[in-house]
Formats: sequence, C-alpha cells, structure tokens
Amino acid sequence: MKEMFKAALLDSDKIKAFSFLSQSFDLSQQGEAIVNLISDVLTEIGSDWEKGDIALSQIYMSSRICEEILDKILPENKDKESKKTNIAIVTLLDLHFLGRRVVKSFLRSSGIEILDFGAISSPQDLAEKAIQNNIQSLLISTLMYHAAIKVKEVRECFRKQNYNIKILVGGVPFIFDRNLWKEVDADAMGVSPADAIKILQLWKQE
Amino acid sequence: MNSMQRVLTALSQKKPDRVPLMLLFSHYGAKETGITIKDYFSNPDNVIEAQMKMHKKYKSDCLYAFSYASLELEAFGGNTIFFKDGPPNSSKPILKNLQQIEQLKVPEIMECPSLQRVLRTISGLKKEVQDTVPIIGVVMSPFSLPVMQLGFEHYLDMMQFHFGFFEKLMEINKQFCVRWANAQIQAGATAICYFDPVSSPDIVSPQFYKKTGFAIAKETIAQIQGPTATHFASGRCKEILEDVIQTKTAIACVSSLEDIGEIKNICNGRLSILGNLNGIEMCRWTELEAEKAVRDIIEKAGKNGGLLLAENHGEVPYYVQEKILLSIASAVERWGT
Repeated sequence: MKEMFKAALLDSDKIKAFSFLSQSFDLSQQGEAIVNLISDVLTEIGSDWEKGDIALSQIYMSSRICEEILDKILPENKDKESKKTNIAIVTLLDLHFLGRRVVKSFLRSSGIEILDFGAISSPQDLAEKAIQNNIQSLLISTLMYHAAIKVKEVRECFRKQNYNIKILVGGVPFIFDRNLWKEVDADAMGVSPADAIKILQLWKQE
Repeated sequence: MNSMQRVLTALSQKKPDRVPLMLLFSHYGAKETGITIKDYFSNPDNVIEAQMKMHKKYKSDCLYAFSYASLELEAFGGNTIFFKDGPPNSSKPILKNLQQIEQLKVPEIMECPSLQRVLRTISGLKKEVQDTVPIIGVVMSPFSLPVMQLGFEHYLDMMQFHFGFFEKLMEINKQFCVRWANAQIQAGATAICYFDPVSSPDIVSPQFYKKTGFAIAKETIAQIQGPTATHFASGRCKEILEDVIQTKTAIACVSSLEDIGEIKNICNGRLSILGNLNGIEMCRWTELEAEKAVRDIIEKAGKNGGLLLAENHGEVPYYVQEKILLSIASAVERWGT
C-alpha cells in the first residue's frame, strides 16, 4: 500500500496519489492514519534522496503534493502556522528558497507546526525575531558557504542575550563538509528534509 | 610544456608533463586584488590583471573569464546582489508568471554592458597569452538558466505541469546560449564551460534528463563553435555519463561526492574529466590535507591523461586560504608528474 502511494508521489502524479488515499482510507475519519502514512513515505523518500537514488525535483514535488492533500482533507492544518509554535525556519542571507520550502512541507505533512521567517540577511535581525517569537528550535537553511558560516554569528547573538535555543542547520555547504555544523556552533545538521522531523522529535523528548 | 600544450595533451588521453591544474578563480580575484567583489567585476582591467597574477602565483593552467552566473539574468533585464565575501547572486526572478514567457525576447549581446565587460576581459586575456594558456568562457545551459529566470520552485512546477511554456522558454534560452557562447569564442575564448547543474541526477531524474536537459545540451553544444566542458556545479553525473558523452562535450566535471577513479573508468577515454577537489572542505583544510586530497585524485584518475585537476563547484570559494592554494599547486607538481 505504502509503495503504491510512494510511486505516485515520485511520478508527481497527484491525482493518483489522492485517489489512492481516498480508496484506502475514510478521509473524514482517519486523518491521523493518513498523516502517519504520509510521514512514513516522506521519511523513506528523504532517505532515498540522501542515498542519491532520487532527485531533488522528486522530493520537492512529493512534499508539495502531500501538503496539498493534507490541506484538502484536513483543512484545519492550513491554519496551523498561525497557531502557537516554538519552531521556526529561515533562509539565511540569500534568495535560495527551495530547501526551506521542502523542509517546511515535510514538517507540515508530518503534523509539525512551524513558523516561516522567510529570508533574513542579518544574523542580528534573525536572532531578534526568534527571541520575539519565543522560538526554541530554529531551522536555518543555506546554499552558499559564506551564508553557512554566518550561523556562528546567529549563535553569538543568542549568547549575548542569554537566550537558550537549539539550532538545526541544513543545505549544500553542510552536505559537502560534514563537520561544518559543529564549526558554526549548531546543535545538529540534517542531510535530508526527513532528518528535520527526526531531530525535532528527539529534541521534543529531551 | 606550456599550459595549452599540457591541457591539450591531457585531453587527447596522453600523459602530459604533469596533471593540468585548473583553478577556476572568479570572485576570488577580488580578494587577491584587495577590492570589493562589485568593484572588481565592474572593470575588465581588474579581472585581466588578477587572472594573470593568479595564473602565475598558483601555477593554474587556465584563465577563467567567468564573473558570476546572474550576469546572464542581467542580459534578460534582471539584477544582481553582491556580497562582500561570496559569489554574487541573482536578485528576484525576471518572470513573475509563465505568460510573460510569450513576450520574452532573446537579449542582444551588444546591448548588455555586463556581457560586454566579459568579452573585453576575454580579448584582454587573449592579448596577454595568445595561445599559450587556455581561456575558459562560461555559459549557463538553457536548461539551468530558468532557476534564475523563474525561481527554482516555479521552474520545477513548470517542468512538471506546464511543458508548453517550458518548451517556449527553452527555445529562447537555446538561442541566447549559442549566441553568448559564440561571442566569447570570437572574442578569444579557447573553450566554453557549459554550466548545467539542473541536469545532474541530484536535481532531476535521469529519465527526465534524457527528454529535457540531454536533448537541449546535444542541440546547443552542436552549435557552439568551440570545444565545451559540461559542468554540474558539484552535482553528481555518474548515472547520466553515457548521455553526456553523446552530447559531444569534451569534458565532464565530477562531484567530490563521487569516486573520480570510477568515473574515469566509465569514461574510458571517451570523455576527459575535471575535478573533484571539495571546495567547501578546502576552506578549512590544512596544507597536509590539501596535499593528500590532490594526491588521492591523481592516484585514482591521473594515469595516461584525461584528468584536469580542479575544485568541483566551478569557482574557488572566497574563504580558501592562499597557503592552501599554494599547497595544491605544489602537490600537483610533486604527485602529478
């Protein structure tokens, strides 16, 4: 069952993916089971991408389709972002938004509420915004090396304010240098978007 | 051997006096010159002077006329954002919706100041070196340019759900790419680096590449009046290598995430390879680590020509230390002969 749904997502076939769910579940009653299935499948897709077995375009389309499906069958999900959450995601320094978009879709599709800070250039502005919003877990996406090393400045801003926060980083520079997340003083790094789900769940349990 | 002889020997799958070193310096020249990246690229004389200086200092076997990717977006009416310590980025996409593709025109190269600056850079470099050092020009592939024209998300959506618009945009981009490449060849570029990151299996599936990026590359490269190197900007290429060979490109760039020895074996003399030093790790390497990285690549792929040693992303990052580049240069002399 899971395999068929996954295949439809990887083919970017949203009609097939939706009709598969509507045939397999009672959409009005089994919301939690659907979220669990979607979360499982997206985690698998994330691992496949990490292994180099599938492409970024497939992971992007899969996450988008899942988000659309959930918005359709669980309309209350659509407004979750505006509800109280202490998790936020941001693109630091530049206009490369895709990583943030995919991770956000993965998290929303797995029932994790998240605030989207968009793109912020200044480490100081980012830290201030996180503090104002009482953020406890901050996900920072970067594409370029010179953006990635600015995470250290973000951490420094939090330290100066004595503000305790977990920072999860992701993006190309961290994939090419697996020690960079430690150098920039992050708490963890994610290779695939599915890692964000695992790490946030782990942090929640701490 | 001079740099040109060394590179041509390697490309003909024969052993040169040493493995050619292709350090692709773009905005790094601003660091060498001690001026801002924006100022550096505003005057071709800055680039010519820095390219010549870096060629001698780091014993690199090419001159790199590339400035920044969004230069091509500027030709379409877009803007560039400059940073103090990293590659310039494209500003907002020029296409706000897909319908605007209907009105999009192929830019005139003569009318775009930033393209003209690159052509003046190439001519100036050619005057300096004649045919002793390869001068590398750069184009964005028609298939990869829309990431800047539309934004990545909208481009992926268009590929999937609006193939008619995709085909229209590709026609415009192909014409522009061929004109821009040939203008650089006419100005004195020895070869064109065809940047095509979207074709990497990291971005689109090999099946999708076959009907899009591959077909576009084959048609475009055939019209470029000089040799080409296909660069995936650190994206992997192993799964599509057979198709890449069919595009008649001369060189493929190998990601540092790939085993360069394995890629060389697959190519088996049909294609030369460029790579695959890890530019991100390079920013924190010690001199010993730099030497080891060079030695490993040469041991895996340096025998009997066919290898051009380079960083894998297509430009040396601003944060790489001078002493590391000097270590790379001396390691090539030590292990690459």
